[in-house]
Amino acid sequence: MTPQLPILELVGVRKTYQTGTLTVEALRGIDMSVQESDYIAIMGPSGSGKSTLMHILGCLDVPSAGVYRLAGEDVGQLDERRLADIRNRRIGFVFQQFNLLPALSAWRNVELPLVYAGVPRARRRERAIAALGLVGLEDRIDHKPGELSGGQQPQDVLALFAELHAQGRTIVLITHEHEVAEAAARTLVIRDGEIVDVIAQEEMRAAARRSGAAAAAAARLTAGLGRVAR
Amino acid sequence: MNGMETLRTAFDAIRTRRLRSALTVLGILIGIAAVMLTVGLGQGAQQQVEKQIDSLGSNLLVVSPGSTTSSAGVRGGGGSATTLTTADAQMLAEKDVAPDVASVASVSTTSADLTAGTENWTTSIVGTTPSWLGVRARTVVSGRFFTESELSSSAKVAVIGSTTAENLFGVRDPVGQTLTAGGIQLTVIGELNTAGSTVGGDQDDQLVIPSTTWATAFSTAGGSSVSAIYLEARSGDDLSAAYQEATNALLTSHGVTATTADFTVSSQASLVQTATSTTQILTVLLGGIAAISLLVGGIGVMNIMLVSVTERIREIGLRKALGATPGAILRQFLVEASLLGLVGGVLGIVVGVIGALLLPAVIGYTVSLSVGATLTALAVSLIIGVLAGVYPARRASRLAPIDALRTE
Repeated sequence: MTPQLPILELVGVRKTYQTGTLTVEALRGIDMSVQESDYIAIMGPSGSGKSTLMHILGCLDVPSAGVYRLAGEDVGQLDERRLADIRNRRIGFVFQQFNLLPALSAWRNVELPLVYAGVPRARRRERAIAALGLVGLEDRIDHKPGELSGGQQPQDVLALFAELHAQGRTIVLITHEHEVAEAAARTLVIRDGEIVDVIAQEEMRAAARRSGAAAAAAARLTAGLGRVAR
Repeated sequence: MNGMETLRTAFDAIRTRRLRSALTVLGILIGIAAVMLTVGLGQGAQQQVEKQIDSLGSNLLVVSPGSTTSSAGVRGGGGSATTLTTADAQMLAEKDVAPDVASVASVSTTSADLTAGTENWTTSIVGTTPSWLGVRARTVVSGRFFTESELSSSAKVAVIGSTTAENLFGVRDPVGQTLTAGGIQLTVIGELNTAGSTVGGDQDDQLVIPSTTWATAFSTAGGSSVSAIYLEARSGDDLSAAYQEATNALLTSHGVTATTADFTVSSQASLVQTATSTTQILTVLLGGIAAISLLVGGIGVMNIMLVSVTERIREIGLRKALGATPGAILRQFLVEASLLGLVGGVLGIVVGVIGALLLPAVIGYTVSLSVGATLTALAVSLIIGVLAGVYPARRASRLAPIDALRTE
């Protein structure tokens, strides 16, 4: 097997927040690389910096120091238009809070990325309805977000990720539940802004069995990152 | 994101924030309508004043006698001398003497007591020629004015002003009535139109009779001197030429120089100028008030747009996370602000026009709409609305998406 160029690569990535006189180091030098079609989980307690890491991976935020390469391109060197294009075409997010526009109907929310991608309206509607069908909302396409019940169960999201992974997309998910991290091929453990451990899938499963938490109810899923196939 | 999508997004945003959109539109509407109506009122007043001055006869020159100094050294006021005569008037009426003078009317005025039946009324009695009607820009609303033949035959006829008629005859039609003045019984043959009060006094309170009749009744010396000679220039442009011709002709015939002149020629031009500058000040004043209301409306619009954008920073973050470029965000807010501005502007113009049509009925003044003021108001409110909408959107569009998403 020949070594591939990693799809995501972080070298010495740091993120510092300045709150008044207080300086918070959320990330203190992260080095990691993710191969194409990989499926990894990032675990860590609250405040460990895992959300910050996810935002940087998703190009929603920029590192204070260090280099982040996405498909070989140094994201720090890209202008706003190019960044917008990457967010639009290469990155998909599943937020814990759904971040929907309350004024728009379900299908109009779903079609938004396609609007910015310049897809014609008829095609957008078709694809948005198909996507809503995948999650069983085909009869709710004209409902506003406030009129949709509950939200997706984490199991549904895991099933969606499994499907996307099977299609060859790269998945990065964030959690602090072992049961969720089990789905990933590798789990990075982050604490105080640093990667402290890398755990393989078998090891995670063994650990989950030991903790006896396999029957745990709603696993808490923070976010997932996938690569959209061209 | 193409233009059609941008427009659709803007419509969606306006629709879902109905109250806020309505308030923005209202702010612009009031600003524009206020500017239109206040400037319109000022200009309407200006035109009204100009019309009133026109009704005096803006082509009018008045020749008055000079002042006198008695043997005791008491100097009389202007017009106290008897240096102007009907002969002067006849001379000025000749085309080769004063070609720019269209018509001439000499007047002799005195104050006298009128009696009609049991009523009596003291007013000014004007002895003049039939040309008076045209020179003073008056008309007869009922009956007729006296004729040249009545002038030469010293006919005992009179044309009456509306105030005088009311005081002597009440609601009865004055035409055909008789009255006594200076011991002579006169028949009223016509009633003058109402002209209102001007600097010359109440133009509706007078009795106009042939100068020959006037001389019989009131001239003590029995001479031919007159109180004033009215000259009408052929047009407003010929006024100064007529002024020169009349002055030169009178200087020559009276054998005097400009420094010893025993008469003065004055025009209404200075009056026109004063009145015009007064109403111009009024227009500027009203325009200033309008500008302030536009400014206040603009600040209101600015506030609403600022708040509207600020509470949508999360939306901007989400749109950016989904691949919106800063340009696309900016265009969205630009189109939204312009749409609100345009709707407000058009409605403001509609309200302004309706106001301009309805107001005169209420306040009795004409409202003259100014295209320039309307367009300026429209441009100013549009610019304020767009700047206030786009500036915060521009700032938000440059935030990292996660910072915008985190904004509460």
